[in-house]
Amino acid sequence: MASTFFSPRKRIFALVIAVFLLAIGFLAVKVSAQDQSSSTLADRLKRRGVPVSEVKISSRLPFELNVTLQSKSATTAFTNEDSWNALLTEHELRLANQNGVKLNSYTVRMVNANGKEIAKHQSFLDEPGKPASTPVSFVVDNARAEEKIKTLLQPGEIRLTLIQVSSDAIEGKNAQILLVQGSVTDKDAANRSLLSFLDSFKDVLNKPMPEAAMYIPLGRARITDSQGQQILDYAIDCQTGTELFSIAPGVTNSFFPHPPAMDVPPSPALETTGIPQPSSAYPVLTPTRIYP
Amino acid sequence: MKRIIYGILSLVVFIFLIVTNVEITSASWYAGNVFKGSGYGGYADITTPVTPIYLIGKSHVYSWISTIATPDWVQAGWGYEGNTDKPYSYYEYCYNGCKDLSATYHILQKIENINWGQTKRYMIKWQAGSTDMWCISIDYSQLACYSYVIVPPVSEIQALSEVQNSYLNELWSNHDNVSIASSANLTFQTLSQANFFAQSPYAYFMYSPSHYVTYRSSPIRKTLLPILSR
Repeated sequence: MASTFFSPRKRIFALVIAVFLLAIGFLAVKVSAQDQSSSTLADRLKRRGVPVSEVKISSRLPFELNVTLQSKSATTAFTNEDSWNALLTEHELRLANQNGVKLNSYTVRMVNANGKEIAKHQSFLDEPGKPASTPVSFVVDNARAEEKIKTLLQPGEIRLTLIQVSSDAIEGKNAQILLVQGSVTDKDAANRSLLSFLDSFKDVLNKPMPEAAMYIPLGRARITDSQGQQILDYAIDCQTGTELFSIAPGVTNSFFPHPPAMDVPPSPALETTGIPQPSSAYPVLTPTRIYP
Repeated sequence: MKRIIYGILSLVVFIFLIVTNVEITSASWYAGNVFKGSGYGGYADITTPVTPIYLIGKSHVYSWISTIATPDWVQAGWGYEGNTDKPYSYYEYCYNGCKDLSATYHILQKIENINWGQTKRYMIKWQAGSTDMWCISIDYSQLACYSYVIVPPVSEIQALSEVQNSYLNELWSNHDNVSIASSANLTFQTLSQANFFAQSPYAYFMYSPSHYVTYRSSPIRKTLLPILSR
């Protein structure tokens, strides 16, 4: 009996069956984990108040997710709230990837009130140098954080009407979200104050501050003029390196790179004198493969 | 004695220049080369300065490849803000009404810190599909694609350096292998047009239309030393 069971042919057969069962088991676990990841994501987004209408697995291998957000806009233009919701969605997707969900890419779509797609982008997550997020070990204190922030912000001529620190709905007592609102008399006053204000705003968010019981990865600043018209709506996610800007015409845009407003002027005379030859100073890139 | 007076005078001038330029707003200076025609994409190997550059106050310096502002744009390159140790690579989209800005979606995505003297290949390209997309790659790795941004072709692809807030800021950036796709089949060709421009005090040193250095000498060297050496 034993010799029959261990005959070479049957052993190979048993081995194949075992490998097959293992593969099936592995795939089942993977599929289950992917399903779990997508439903967890949908749940986290809803808890953040993001109007997510669908989280769909568009591919299992490679693992790709498709998230659809609902805009209140009835036109093809979307609003600043839509942008903020997109930022929160990307925050969750990128953190999920950093924390072990092996997501190759994701697509975020936005549909308007009529069901028409008005925005869509795909991001690929094989980016270099992204550290896994590490929650802080201390418990944050919103009231203390607000007091500290009041001393750190440099509003200039902006009159701050709200500095609100709230616990992150997802990360709980280990992370916070900052909302700052303010008003300024006019665009000239805004232009004199915005650079310093934004620099100080970013400084508040950049790092954990145990002495102030403060750790704020997500922040938003909304500045209006005296008539309530938007001057600036700025949002930043320090954990993923994402910044969003919406600024009124005539307000300085000297805090993000941008092409010249007009066509470049005709070529002036070539200027090639008066500088040291830099050729030996910089490394020359030698492409190792042809770009597809 | 004369030398000391010149020295004190130049110091006063220098400090005045610094103080009066810290909070200049809505000011950007550009230098580099531009492709004009039908643009469907482009790439450039752009190098950060070999050593840290000196920036004044709340200033920023960038070198990038970008579509022209139509007013919407797509852009990728390196940036440096004086309050950080290192430059970083980034990509950027501005659309959904980038000009009137009633509801602009302007995203700046920082990718990673990079070293001084480091070269990366920054690419923007249009990609046909169910919805037209503009895609970004850095060092051959595709990072993102956005739809509803710009209908191609664009009339210019710009490979420029940009300095913000003070013309005393230093700049040095090497642009090499600047290449353009001028048709929808995305065949990239080395840039042969010489549509160079530079806004003083920034300048360029051209090896070829596809290889050039944008620069500005140190404000100390440009402002102080010439006076001292008299």
